[in-house]
Amino acid sequence: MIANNFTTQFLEFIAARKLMIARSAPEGRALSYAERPRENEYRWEPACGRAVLHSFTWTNRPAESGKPGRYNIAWVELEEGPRLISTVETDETQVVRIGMPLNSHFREDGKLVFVPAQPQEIT
Amino acid sequence: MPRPLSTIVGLGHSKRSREPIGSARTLAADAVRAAIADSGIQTQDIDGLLLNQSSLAPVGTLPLQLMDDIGLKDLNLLSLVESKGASVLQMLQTASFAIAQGAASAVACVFADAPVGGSTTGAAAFNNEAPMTGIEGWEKQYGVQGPVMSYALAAQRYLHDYNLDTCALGHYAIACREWARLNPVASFPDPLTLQSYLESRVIAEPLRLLDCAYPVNGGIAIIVTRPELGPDLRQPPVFVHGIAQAHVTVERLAAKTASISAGQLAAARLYEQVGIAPGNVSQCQFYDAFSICALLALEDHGFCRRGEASEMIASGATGPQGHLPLNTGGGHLADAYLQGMTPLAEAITQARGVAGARQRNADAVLVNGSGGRLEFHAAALLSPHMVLR
Repeated sequence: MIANNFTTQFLEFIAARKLMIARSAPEGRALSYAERPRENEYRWEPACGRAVLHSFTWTNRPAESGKPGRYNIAWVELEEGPRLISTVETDETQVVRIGMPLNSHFREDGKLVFVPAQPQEIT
Repeated sequence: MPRPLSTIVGLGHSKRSREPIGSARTLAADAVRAAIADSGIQTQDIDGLLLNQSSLAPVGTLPLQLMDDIGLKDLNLLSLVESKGASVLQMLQTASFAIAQGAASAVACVFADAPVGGSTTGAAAFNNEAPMTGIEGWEKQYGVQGPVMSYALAAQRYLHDYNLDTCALGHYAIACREWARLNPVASFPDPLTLQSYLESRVIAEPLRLLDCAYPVNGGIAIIVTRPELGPDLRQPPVFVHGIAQAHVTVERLAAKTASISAGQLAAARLYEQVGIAPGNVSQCQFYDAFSICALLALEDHGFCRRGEASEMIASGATGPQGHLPLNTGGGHLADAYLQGMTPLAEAITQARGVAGARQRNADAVLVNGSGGRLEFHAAALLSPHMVLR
């Protein structure tokens, strides 16, 4: 897969701790991150940060990785439509399940993760 | 009914092992020589060679110079074909089209791989990047390595959508063992119980070790020629009645869409091309790198409705006593993973009528190939009959 301006711009936003989505111009359709629009055919805007969990898997890091342990891979659907691979960070009381509402969150190290939405945040 | 596109008249296997037995190149040459000998065609009459190496193997693993290794001269057709798990059927299609156009008359198609052995495990050999989002390198930071995790995500969603538990996948692994018991060269001929399946190691939830293909070192080759030549050669001819491809790009995974799957598209195109319906298919040989692939393929090809494949398999419908035999050699899970050649070789064996204890009606054998994150597909229909019954 070749990085182009579209993906480079997205990654630059991520590096600046901004989750953005692209909309086609002039229709305003939310573009998936796999699309390759021409430079003048889309515009970026901040994502609302709300998402639902489309799917997930739990797996284990191998011992030789130096950081063995269980972790989840999350297939997240942003409220605007595009999907991203990420992870869901939970505390010990929270169960990861398909359809759960999530919010985007940038960790201290700059990594984009998702956290379960609190009940009062769910509309 | 249109005439067949081509005929498969040779099938050859190299040695096969989990231990090192030579390079993929050596195994490919061995397989092609075996296929030529099987066909009864003279080596000097082979005028086409198509190669498919594993997409995870280094570039040049199967070089064009393989023609020299085999002793082929003055070829009319020579190419490397690559479309993940659909590649083998693409080779068959390319060979068939070249033959139909008179551009070649006898084409060897080969796949070979040597991923395991020594210090390399199957998991290490298939630990490639698995793009789903469409952003280069994105998945790796979240620990997505190898196809198993992306198929696990698809399987988890499938189980959720149809309110199924992991036993739904286990039924398929069990059925593969039932067929493998009838295959003298299968890697896992011992029966499998649901309990044993559920006790096997989870690789990426919900996929367990026994949901995954069993990689081996080896090669398989076929010889393709004109339909009218088939009956005069050494082996019973296997006619290729149709081949269709469908590829939908990873965009389908990267956003909520209403588009149908590549598997459905390839199936619809094949049925239209050949002029048949699912009810005319005698048996299926599907590319089942993971158990979920077989369930989705049954649904994509119209043998049951969405979410019903597991119930169909659990009923025995696709097993040795069933009306729609599926992966009669044990498939990738219980026979061996030589990518698209595993289902195609079993289809040829069945269509020749030489499958021994596992032989079933093979009047119309459906073969598929799928790869990537299921965005690349091909399907073909084979038969021992020049005119489909």
